Amino acid sequence: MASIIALVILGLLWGGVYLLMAEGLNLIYGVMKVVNLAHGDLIVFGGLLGYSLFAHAGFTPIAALLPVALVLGALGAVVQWGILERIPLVGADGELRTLLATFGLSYVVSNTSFLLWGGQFQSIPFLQGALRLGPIAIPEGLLACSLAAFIAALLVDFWLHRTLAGKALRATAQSPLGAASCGLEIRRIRIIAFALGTAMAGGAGALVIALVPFQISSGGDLTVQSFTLIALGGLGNYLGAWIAAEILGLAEVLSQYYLGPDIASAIIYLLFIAVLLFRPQGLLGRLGRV
Amino acid sequence: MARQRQVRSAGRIILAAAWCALCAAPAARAAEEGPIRVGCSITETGPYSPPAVFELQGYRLAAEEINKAGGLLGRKVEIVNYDDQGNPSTAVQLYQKLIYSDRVDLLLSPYETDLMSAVAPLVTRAKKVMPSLGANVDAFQGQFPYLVQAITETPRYMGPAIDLAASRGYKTIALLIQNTQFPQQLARGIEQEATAKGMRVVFKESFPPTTTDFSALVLKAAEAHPDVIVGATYLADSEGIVRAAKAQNINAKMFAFSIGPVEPEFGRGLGAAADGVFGTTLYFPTLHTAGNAEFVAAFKEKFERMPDYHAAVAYASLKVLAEAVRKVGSLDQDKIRDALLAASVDTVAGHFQLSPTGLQIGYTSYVLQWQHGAQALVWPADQATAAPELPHGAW
Amino acid sequence: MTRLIIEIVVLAGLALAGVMIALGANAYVVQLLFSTALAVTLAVGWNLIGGMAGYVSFGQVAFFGLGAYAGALAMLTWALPWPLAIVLAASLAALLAWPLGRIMLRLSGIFFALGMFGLARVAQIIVNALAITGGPMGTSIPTAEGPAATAMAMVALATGAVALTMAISRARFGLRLAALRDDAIAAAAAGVDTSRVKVMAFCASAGLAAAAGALYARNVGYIDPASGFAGTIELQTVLMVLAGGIGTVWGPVLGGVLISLLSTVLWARFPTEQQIILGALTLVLAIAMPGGLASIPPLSLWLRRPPLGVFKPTAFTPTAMEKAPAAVAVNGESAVLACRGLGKRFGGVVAVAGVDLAVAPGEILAVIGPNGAGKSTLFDMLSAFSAPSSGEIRFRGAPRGTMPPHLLARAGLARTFQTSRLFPRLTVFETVLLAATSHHPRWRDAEQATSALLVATDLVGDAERFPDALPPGRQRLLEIARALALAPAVLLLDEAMAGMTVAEIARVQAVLRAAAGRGTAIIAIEHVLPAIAPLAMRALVLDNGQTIAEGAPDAVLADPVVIEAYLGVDAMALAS
Repeated sequence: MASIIALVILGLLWGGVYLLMAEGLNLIYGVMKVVNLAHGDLIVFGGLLGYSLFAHAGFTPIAALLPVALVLGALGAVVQWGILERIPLVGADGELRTLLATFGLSYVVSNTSFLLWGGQFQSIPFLQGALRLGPIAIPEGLLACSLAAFIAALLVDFWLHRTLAGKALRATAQSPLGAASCGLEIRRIRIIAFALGTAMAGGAGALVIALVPFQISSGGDLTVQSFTLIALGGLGNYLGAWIAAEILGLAEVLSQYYLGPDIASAIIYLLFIAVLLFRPQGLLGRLGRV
Repeated sequence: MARQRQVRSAGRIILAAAWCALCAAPAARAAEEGPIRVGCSITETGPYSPPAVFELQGYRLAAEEINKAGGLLGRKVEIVNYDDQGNPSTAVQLYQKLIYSDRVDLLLSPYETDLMSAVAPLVTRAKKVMPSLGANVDAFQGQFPYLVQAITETPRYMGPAIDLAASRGYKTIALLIQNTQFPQQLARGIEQEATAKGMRVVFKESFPPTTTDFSALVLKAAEAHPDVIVGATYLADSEGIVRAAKAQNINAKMFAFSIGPVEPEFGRGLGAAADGVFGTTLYFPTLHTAGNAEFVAAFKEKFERMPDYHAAVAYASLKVLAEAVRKVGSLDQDKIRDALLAASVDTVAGHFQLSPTGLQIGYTSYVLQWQHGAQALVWPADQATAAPELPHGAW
Repeated sequence: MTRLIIEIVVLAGLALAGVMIALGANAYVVQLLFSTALAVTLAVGWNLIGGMAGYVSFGQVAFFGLGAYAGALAMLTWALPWPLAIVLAASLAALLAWPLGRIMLRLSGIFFALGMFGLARVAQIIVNALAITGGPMGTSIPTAEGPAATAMAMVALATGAVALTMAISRARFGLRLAALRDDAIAAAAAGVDTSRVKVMAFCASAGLAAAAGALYARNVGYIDPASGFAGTIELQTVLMVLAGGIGTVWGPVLGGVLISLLSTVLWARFPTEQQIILGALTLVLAIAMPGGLASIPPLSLWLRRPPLGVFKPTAFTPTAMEKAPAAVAVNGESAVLACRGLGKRFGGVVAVAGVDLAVAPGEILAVIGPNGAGKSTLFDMLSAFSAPSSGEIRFRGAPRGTMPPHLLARAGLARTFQTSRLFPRLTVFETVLLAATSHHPRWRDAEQATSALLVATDLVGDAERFPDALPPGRQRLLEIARALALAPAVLLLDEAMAGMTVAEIARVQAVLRAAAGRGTAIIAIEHVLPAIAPLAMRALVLDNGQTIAEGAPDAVLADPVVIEAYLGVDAMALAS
C-alpha cells in the first residue's frame, strides 16, 4: 500500500519535471505554430552551462537559473531574428522549411555543446535528499523541479493574460494578420516569444541536470518527449500540457513498476501514437491531423 | 551572373569531392622496407570519443617505447589510425582501407565492443591477427580465429566485487542491468559468480539504455530487501540509480556498479552521495603490476594526465603483440596468432594469458570505492590502497 | 522523349561506373562506393514518401533496421542465399508498411514525422527485447564474399530505386502523388484515392529502406539494435534529400553522392566541426535554398519533373465533350442528387439546419444566400468532404451512405472550391489530366478528353503553364475544367465565377450550357445572382442554414424574405 502511494507521488513529481522541460516548446508553438526541433538540445545546452557555473563558480542550479535563462534567451532571440524570421511561414513549404531549419539548428547546438563540454555525461549534486512523511520519502529534487514547473506555468499564464506584452503575444498567436493591423509589431513579439521559450528550455536544463545526467546526444529524446507531451495536451494548451505531463509521469512510473522498464520507455511513444489516432485534437485541445 | 557563379562553385565542390575521394586511396606501399605499419580506427570525435582517445594514447606511448628500444625486427613501428566516429559501418570501411589499401602490417583494435564486433568478420576474412579490446565472450569462441582478447572478459568483470561482498557475509543481491550488450553479458557472469560464492540474486530487472528515471525500478528492487544492489551499468544509469536510492531513502549494505564509479564525472555529478559506492576498474595507477610505475610516469609526462584503464590495456596490447612478433621473427599472421595464444606475459594491465580460442583468462579486475570525494582501490586486498568502508551507511 | 533517353543514359552510365569501380578499385574505394550507393538508395527511398508524397518522416530507419534483421535472420536461420534474403526483407517491410501506413498516414506534418520517430524507437525496443534477434548482443552474419559483391548489389539497388522513381514520375501514379502532395483535398475531389496513393508510396519507400538494410547487414557482417536503428542514418538521409532537392527524381541522387563524398572530405579536414558544418548547411539550405541543388539553374531546368500528357488537337464542339453518364433518370427517380433534412452542427453552432434539395439531370440550380448562410457547408456535405449531422443524401437513385469523396468523384459528382484549390506543381494540362485519368482507364483517352476540355475552356495557350501564373479568372476556369474532366453527372460550383472577366464568364456560361445540355446537373453557389441568373432554371435561397425561398430566379429575387435576408431588417424598415 505504501508503495502504490509512493509510486503515485513519484509519478506526479516526474510529471512536473516533464512539464518543466516542455513548457518552452509549448510557448513557442502556442505563439508561432513552430515546432522547435532544437528544443532538447537547448535544454542540454542550458544544463551544461549550469554545470559549468557550478563546477567553476560554485553556482547552485537555482542561482544558475537566471544567468542560464538570460544566455539562452539571447541565443533564442538571435535564432528567431537571424533564421526563423527569414523563412515565410505560409503554406506546407513554410512548415517543412522551419522544421528543417530547426533540425539543422539542433545539430549545430548539440555539436557546439560537444566542442565546449565533451561527450561525457555531466550532472550536479544538488537537492539529493528526501523529505520524509511517515513511511513515504519525497525526493527533494523532484519536488523542486515540479514546483519550478508550476511557478513557471503560473508566471507564463499571468504574463500572457495580464500584461500588455502577453496579450499582444496571444493576439499574434490567434491572428498574425489581425495583430499586425492593430499596430502590433509582430516581428518583435515573435522574437520575444522565441527568446522566452528558449530561456525556459535553458532554465529547465539548469534544474534538471541535477536529476538526470546530460550528455550531448540526450537532446533528441528530450525534444520528442516534450513535443509528445504538448501534442498530448493539445498543442499550445497550457492546462492540457500539465494534465498530459502528469499522465505521462504516472504512466511511466507505474509501468516501470508493474510492466517493466522496457514498456515504460516505450509508453510515451505508444501513448503518443494512440492519442493522435483516437483523439487527434489532443487530450484537451486543437487538431493534430488532416 | 550570381546564379552562374553558384553553379560553377557547386561544380567545383563536386570535383573537389571526387578528387579527394580518389586521393584518399594512395597506392599500396612497397612492404618490407620502411617502418612496420600498425593500423587501427579509433573514435577520435563524437560522444564516444573520450575513452577511445585514451586508448589511442596508450597505443602511441607503446609504439614510442618500442621504437626507443630499437624498434621491431629492426624496423620502426608506425601507427596508422583513422577516426571512425563511433560508427560501426565507418569502422568497417576503415579496416577495409587499412587492410587492402594501406596494407598495414599489423592491426590493433578499435574501441568499443560493437565496433570490434563489426570489424571482426572482415579482419577474420583477411586473416589478420588483432588483439581485441572487446570484452564480449562470443567473439572468442572460435568463430573469429584471428581475434585474441586483450581486455578482461566481461563475465569476470565484477568477480572481485562479488568476492568482496561475500567476504563480508552478504547473502542477497538485487541486479539492475542496462539492456545492452556488455551489461547483459556481465549480468550472467555476476549471477554465476554469486552462486559460486553462496549468494542469491533475489531481484533482477533490465532496463533500456534510454531510461532516465529509475525511481520505480529502485523502489521495486528494495522490496526484495537485498544486502547488495549491483548495477551492470554505465555512467548515467549508475548515477540515476544512486540518485533514486538516496532520494527515496532506500538503503542497502553495499552499492556496486560495473562502469560509472570509475569515471571522475561520477563523483562530480553526485558529490557526497558518491561516497561509499563501489565500482569496478581494470586498472589503477597504483597497481603493483609489471612496469606500471614507469608507465604511469611516462604517460603523465607525454599526455599531461593520468592514464585510465583504456590507456593501460591498449598500451599492454601493443606491447604483447610486439613481443609475439619478436618471438616469431616475422610478420606471419598465423605464427603471431599462435605465439599470442601461447603467451604468458606480465603487463601493466595484469597477467596476459589466453584460452585456446583466444579468450582472456589472465587479466582480472579491481574494486574501487569513492571515499571522501576520491577513488580508492580497495579490493583485492593485496593491491588495495585503502580498506573498504562497509556496510554503506543510511543516506 | 529525348529527356527520358538522356536520363536512362545517365543512369546506365552511373551504374556502369559503379560496377567498374566495384570490380577494379581497391577494397577501401569499393567500400566507399558501397556507402555512397547506400546513401543514394536511402535518399531515393526516403524521397518517395518524404518528398514525392510530402509526408516527411523521421522514422524510415525503422524499415532499414527491420530489413537488416529480416535479411540477417533469413540468411542465418533458413540459410537463404543472400540476394533472396534481401528480396524477402524488402517484401516483408513493404507488406508490413501497408497496415502501418494505413494507420500512420492519417497523421500529417510534424505529427507524422514524430509519430514515425516514435515507431522507430518502439521497433528498436522490441528488437532489443527479442531472443531471435540476439537482443542487445546483435547478430553476426558470416560473409564469404568480399565487399565487391555487396557493393555491386548496392549499386544495382540504387539504380533500381532511381529507375523506379523515374518511372513513377512519368506515370499516372506520379501525377497522383504530386497532386496529393500539393493539395490532398483537391486531389480527392479529382478522384484520387489519396490514402491508397500515399500508402503505396510509403510501402515502396519502406521496401527500399529494408533492402538497403539487409544489404548493409550483409556487407558489414554484423547488426545490433543500436546500429540498425541509428538516428544518424535518418539525419543523414534527410540532409541528403534536402541538399539535393526534395521531391525531385535526381535531387536525392545528387545529394546522396555529394553529401557522402563531402562528409568524407569534411571529416578528413574538420573532424570535430564536421557535424556543425552539416547542421549549418541544413540551416542555410532551409533558409536560402529550400529546393536544394536541384533548384539552382540550369540544374532546375534539367531536373524539373517532366510535364506529363500530350495535347491532342481537337476543335471545340459540344459533342467533343463526352456525354454525362447519368443523362437519364436513375432507378425511376427524376433527381440525380437529392437530400432531405440535411443538417450540420459544429459544437453548438448550427451551420445547416434541415435543407431539402433535388436536381434533375440537365438542370441548373442556383443556390444563393448571404455570407455564413451555410452554402459551402452544404456543398462539403454533398461532396462527402464533411459528414452530415442529420439527414439523408441520395445520389443516382440510391442512398449515398458514407462513400469517400474520391469514390464519389469517380461516380460522377464533381466540385470546385470557394477559394480555388489548384496544384502549384502541376501544369494546367496535368491538372485536368489528373481528373481525366480518374474517369478514363486509358491514358490516351484521358489525354484526348483533357485536350477537348482545354479547347472548350480556352486554356490551350496556358497548357504548359503553372496555375500561379494564371490570372484569378483563368484559375477558376481551370478548376471548372478539372471538375468537368470527371464527366460528372452532378457538378457543384462554389462561387466559380467570382473574379472573372466578362469574356471569361461568357466562356463558362457556354461550357456549362453545353454540359447541362448533355445531362449534367449543375448546382451553382453564387454570392450574387447576376452571373448565374441567365443560366439558372431554379434558385434556392439559404439564410442561417435554412431554405428561405425556392423557385424561379426572378420570383425568388422579388421575395421580401430574401431582400430582408440580404439587406437586414433595418433596411426594410427604412425602405418602407
